[in-house]
Amino acid sequence: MERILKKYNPMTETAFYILLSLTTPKHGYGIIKSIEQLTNGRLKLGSGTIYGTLTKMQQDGLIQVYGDQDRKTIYDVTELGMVILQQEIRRIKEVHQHVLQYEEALDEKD
Amino acid sequence: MKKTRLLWSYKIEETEQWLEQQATRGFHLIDVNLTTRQFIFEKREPAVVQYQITYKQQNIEQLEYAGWERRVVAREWVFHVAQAPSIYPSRDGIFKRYRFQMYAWMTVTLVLLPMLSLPLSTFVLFSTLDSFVPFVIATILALVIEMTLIFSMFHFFKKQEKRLLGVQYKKAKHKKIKKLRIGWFYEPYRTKQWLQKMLNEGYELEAASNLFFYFKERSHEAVSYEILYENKIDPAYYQIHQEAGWELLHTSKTSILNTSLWAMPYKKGEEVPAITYDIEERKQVMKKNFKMTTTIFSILVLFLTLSVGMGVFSGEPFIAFDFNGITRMLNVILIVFWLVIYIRSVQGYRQELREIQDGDVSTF
Repeated sequence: MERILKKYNPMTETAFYILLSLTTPKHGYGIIKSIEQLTNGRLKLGSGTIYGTLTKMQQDGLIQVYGDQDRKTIYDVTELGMVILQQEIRRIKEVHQHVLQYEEALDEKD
Repeated sequence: MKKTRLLWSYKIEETEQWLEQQATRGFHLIDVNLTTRQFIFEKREPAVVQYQITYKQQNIEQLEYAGWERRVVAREWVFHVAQAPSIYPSRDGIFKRYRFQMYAWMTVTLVLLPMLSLPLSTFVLFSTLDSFVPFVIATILALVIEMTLIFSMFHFFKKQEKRLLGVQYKKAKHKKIKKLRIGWFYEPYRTKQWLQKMLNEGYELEAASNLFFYFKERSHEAVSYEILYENKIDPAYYQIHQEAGWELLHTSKTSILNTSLWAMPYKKGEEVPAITYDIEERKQVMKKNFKMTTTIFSILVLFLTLSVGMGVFSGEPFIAFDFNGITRMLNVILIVFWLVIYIRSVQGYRQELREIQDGDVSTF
């Protein structure tokens, strides 16, 4: 558990968005679409990227899988996955806070 | 009621259906004895239910919410029952079990086959003339039985693997032209460039085998092709690529050392579809393929060189028109052929790396 927490601190942007999108269960392609929508097309992920990341996350226990009515794989975040997602959210919040602080300082300089 | 069902774990889907049939007759599963292969039923009201068998599969709460009951748990096996489920347990565990057994079986037979045939063959060589014939027959018979067993087992596992991988494979229907291209997989860069050239000439790839490419008349403005190699894949592999719009034109259909060729049409001016848009990942994809090519090349050339070298060292003339001489010449031709492919592969690899570094990924 400690090792996994460390491994995903910080997360890559891709991994973060994939895990974030899986807070509601989705198919592989659903992940690609939802991230594209969320970032207004800025982050476009290839199916190879999705497959690679999902495989790793499944091995590390961050996500779990089951089949839908047609037996197509659905991905869903696990409790451990949620813990990691929250850890990353805390980190990004901190970064955001620092950005705001320095932005003010930079504005004053101008 | 008790019912014995031998080899049930090799017929998972059939066993599930069989359990469902039993339930409609009022026989509901209450226990499984793995050692005796006995299924134990209890007589109750007939019911229409669904059974799912999983192996080494993590327990997921969602299944419980969806109405799945873990009816029988026996070692790593779980027999799930539900009435009208909205989701299903993953088959990943079953898939991995088949895969493990298949490759274990292959390893065992590779060791066993020579071990089994060797004693018999030596016996034949050293036996006297009157005992010779029965031994020859015995050897041949033993070999036939072995081979049949090996191939039927292998065929069975292969079929299961293919089904669980869910490969939806297209056969060429409107093939206009057919082109031979030996070793295309080992030089992905050149092959992709050639495919673009063919497209410019009005031919779109429809399907490919290990040796042949089948083209149809071009029906899209532009097509992106990807040639992929993976050491190991699971059933989600084909599904994810296909959902994303990639069309499978060739695959080895194996879960290890998997090769595949994909195509996706797009409109000019749009971003070129790619399996990954990340430069580091793109390099990884290329490296994987190149490593595999290098491994295969080294093994083949090593064996070919050894076989040529052995003949030369044993004092035979290099050029001879007997069996050994002709084999030697063929081997030399093969070495040259492989060298050419490998050199082209190295060139292609370096060229593609350069293009990626320069940010010119759009040529594909």
